[in-house]
Amino acid sequence: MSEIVGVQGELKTPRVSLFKLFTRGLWSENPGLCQLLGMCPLLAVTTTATSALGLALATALVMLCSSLIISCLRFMILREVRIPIYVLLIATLVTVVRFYVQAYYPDLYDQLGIYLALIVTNCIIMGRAEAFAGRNNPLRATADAAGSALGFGLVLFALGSVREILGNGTWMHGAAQMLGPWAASLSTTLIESDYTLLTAVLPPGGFFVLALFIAGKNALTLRRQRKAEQRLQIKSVMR
Amino acid sequence: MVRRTASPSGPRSNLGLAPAPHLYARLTTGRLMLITALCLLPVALVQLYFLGCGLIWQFLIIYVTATLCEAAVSLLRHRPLKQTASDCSTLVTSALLALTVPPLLPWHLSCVCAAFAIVIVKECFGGLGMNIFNPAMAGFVFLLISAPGYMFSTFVPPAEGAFRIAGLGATYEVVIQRQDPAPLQERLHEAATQTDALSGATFLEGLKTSRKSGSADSMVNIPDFTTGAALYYSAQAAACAAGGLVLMIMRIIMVKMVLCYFLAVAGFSYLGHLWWPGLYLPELPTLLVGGTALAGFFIITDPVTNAGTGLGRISYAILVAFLIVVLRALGSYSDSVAFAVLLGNAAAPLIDVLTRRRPYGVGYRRGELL
Repeated sequence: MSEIVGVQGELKTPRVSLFKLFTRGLWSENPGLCQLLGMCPLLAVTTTATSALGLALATALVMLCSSLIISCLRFMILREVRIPIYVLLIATLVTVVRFYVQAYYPDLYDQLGIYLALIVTNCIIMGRAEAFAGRNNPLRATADAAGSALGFGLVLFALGSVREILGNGTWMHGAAQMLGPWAASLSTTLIESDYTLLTAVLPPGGFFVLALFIAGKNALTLRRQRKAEQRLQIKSVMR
Repeated sequence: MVRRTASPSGPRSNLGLAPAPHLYARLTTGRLMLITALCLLPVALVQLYFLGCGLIWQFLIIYVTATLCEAAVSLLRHRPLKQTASDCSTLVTSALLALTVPPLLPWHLSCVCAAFAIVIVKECFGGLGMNIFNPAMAGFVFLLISAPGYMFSTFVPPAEGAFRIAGLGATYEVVIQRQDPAPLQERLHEAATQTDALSGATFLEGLKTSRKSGSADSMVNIPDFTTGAALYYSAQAAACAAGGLVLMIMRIIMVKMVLCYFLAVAGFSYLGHLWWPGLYLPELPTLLVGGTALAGFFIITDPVTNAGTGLGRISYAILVAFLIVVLRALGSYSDSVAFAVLLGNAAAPLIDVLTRRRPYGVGYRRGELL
């Protein structure tokens, strides 16, 4: 039964190279900017660059492990009950990560709050498990998860940086608590200390900045396409 | 009401013509906006007299920023700059924004709120005629949420002849060079007669504090026209009414809508004061203070962001009036006009659907239409 599934899966999707799997998650199928998955933590946690980085690392860890384990176990997982099994696996991993963060980085744990536990329900992890890891070999599943995790993490970090700089005028504030004492030099104050623009830190700011990111990404993607189209146009019709 | 019919986002025309129908109206969008801006002049004069010359700097900063943002966006969207410049909607938006922000606001915040109003609220939704929310009010709300400390520390108490104390030079130092506004405010406080009547930065702010202790009815002696603050509020309302009257005579704004708005504000605050006198003001102060009059004549009548049908516009006006009265009593910010207008704008498409006109010849029987 499971072999048939594997054959079906391979027929549907043409085989792509490992490198392409990795870069696909980074740009053309970026979970944050294209698939718009995992919006809840993306908007809620990115008030500072540090907490965004923390959540990005935690999500990436869970995603890599879950994809690897699920693709290793893909012949053992019954197709009919695969979703509960995925959820169980991911929840176990999240619990481990959560206890680890709580034990070693209590500040970050307080900052992330409920969103650390909610990684379980993050649709990116579930989506990768369901769409890719469940029907591909461990190497390919890991490459895919790494691409998606890195893409999501970069979006989280960029969003957190922009919101923190616009909102508070600082960057990587409180990095020392998370990354160790060497990161204290990373924490910079870019704009004078009494500057605030609270909207950027409040939820509407998250939506505004994310929307601008998506618009920028779409503009870049469409640019090449439009140029190719313009080359085919008749000159006299163009203005 | 004139709406721009030819969609600029349609097929690019090579002949410089818009698609049919070709209607000719002497009242173009640009002329209409210019008249609206001129009708705001009396309000500006009243504010200059009572609040000082900070308004001039605010308007200049906001107008320059808004124009630059408009130009940048129209370059990005490959629109002709001339078309963008010829409709004076930026002028009206900047004027409304300059009249609502505190006169001593530091210049960088004015720039940010003007850029937000134009780029995100107006142009991201498709530019003139397409925006869902009133740009001036959204910019004001952005500022109110972003920098609440600045908003309340840069208001000035209304004083008669404030333009003599807070002249161009004094306000230049505060607004552009970002010096501490406190000494200037102190001098204005001294000039204002009976400053004790104003316990907060503005009347509404003071009212908010007294409302928390449930004693708003002790502050309702505002129609006492001898104090500087009351004189300022009534002069501002009268100036709004003068400008609005011109707009009504020129048939730019809908008379019924404005009348319904003011009647609704008076009615709701009468009822509120009748039942909860510690929370709601009586009708006359509610009509005078804050931005009630400005909103009634210039903000809710914005042809783009209100509802599209006649009945819809009246319902929209009543909805905004209700929200103003209720939010002023129960909201956590001192004035509620901007929030009420934004909520009304959000409801306007729904009002359009609910007040859709019946096509001729159908809908006489129940269930025939839709």
